[in-house]
Amino acid sequence: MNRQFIIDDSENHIVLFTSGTPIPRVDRVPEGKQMPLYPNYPIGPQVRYFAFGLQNIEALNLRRLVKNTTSTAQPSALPVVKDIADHLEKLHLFEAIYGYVDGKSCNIVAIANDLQSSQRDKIWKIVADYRRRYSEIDIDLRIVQRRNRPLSDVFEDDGTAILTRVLMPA
Amino acid sequence: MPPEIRHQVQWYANKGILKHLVEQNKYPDWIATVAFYTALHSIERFLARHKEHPKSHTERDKVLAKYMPLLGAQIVADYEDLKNTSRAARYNFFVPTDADIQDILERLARIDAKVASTP
Repeated sequence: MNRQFIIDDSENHIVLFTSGTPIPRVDRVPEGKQMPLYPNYPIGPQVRYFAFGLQNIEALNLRRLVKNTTSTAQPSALPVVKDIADHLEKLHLFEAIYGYVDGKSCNIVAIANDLQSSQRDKIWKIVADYRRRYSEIDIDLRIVQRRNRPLSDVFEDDGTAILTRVLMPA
Repeated sequence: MPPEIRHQVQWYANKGILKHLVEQNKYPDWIATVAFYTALHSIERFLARHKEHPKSHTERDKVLAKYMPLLGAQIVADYEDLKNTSRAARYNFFVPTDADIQDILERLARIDAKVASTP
């Protein structure tokens, strides 16, 4: 997993991780550097394309994003969110997996176009196993089934607002 | 009123609302949400028997994972999926299909049956 960006959204320091080939972004910043997300964070055209044309995820190799709120993250929680993201990625069911740590909370949003009931069961059992193994950490996974909707029709709530902001700039 | 009975009363009320919604067949998103909160009170009934009274969804998720050997992994998956679908319906504009509704009702039925048969 390659670290790609560190962004400061002026509330928290956010680290985004991606897997695969680095995204060709003119506004990418070197590891350890920070740049403001608001009010005018220059999201590149590739990211905008990703947001509204999810079918191009594979082309962009942006299958997974992991965000770490470094200012508040409990260090022991970060390896857990990464481990869960790795585990989920190996299932080859998701178009994108996005996660972040806030305090002792590991939050993951996994996006698929559509999943069968039995496939979701498999995922929930994995999550339950992680919850039992790391009982001191709060683990929350949201499975989002896009069902051919663009992301702009999917994300509106506060819980995924950061995802909307990062991937779906106005 | 003892907590288990309190949850049973709320579970019963929610079941009534759910039945009404299913019969109307107009609001699949609310079917998802009411089904989840029916399942939640079912799970709370079970947890109350074990003197567990989680105060948040996060805490409940953890306690439920602890009781997975007793309830079975399928019941935990059923509960999680109902919660996820309910959240998707409320926050991600997810509209359950007829097949989803069938799945939702089957999951709820499994939870109710397990809670009824597990001490």
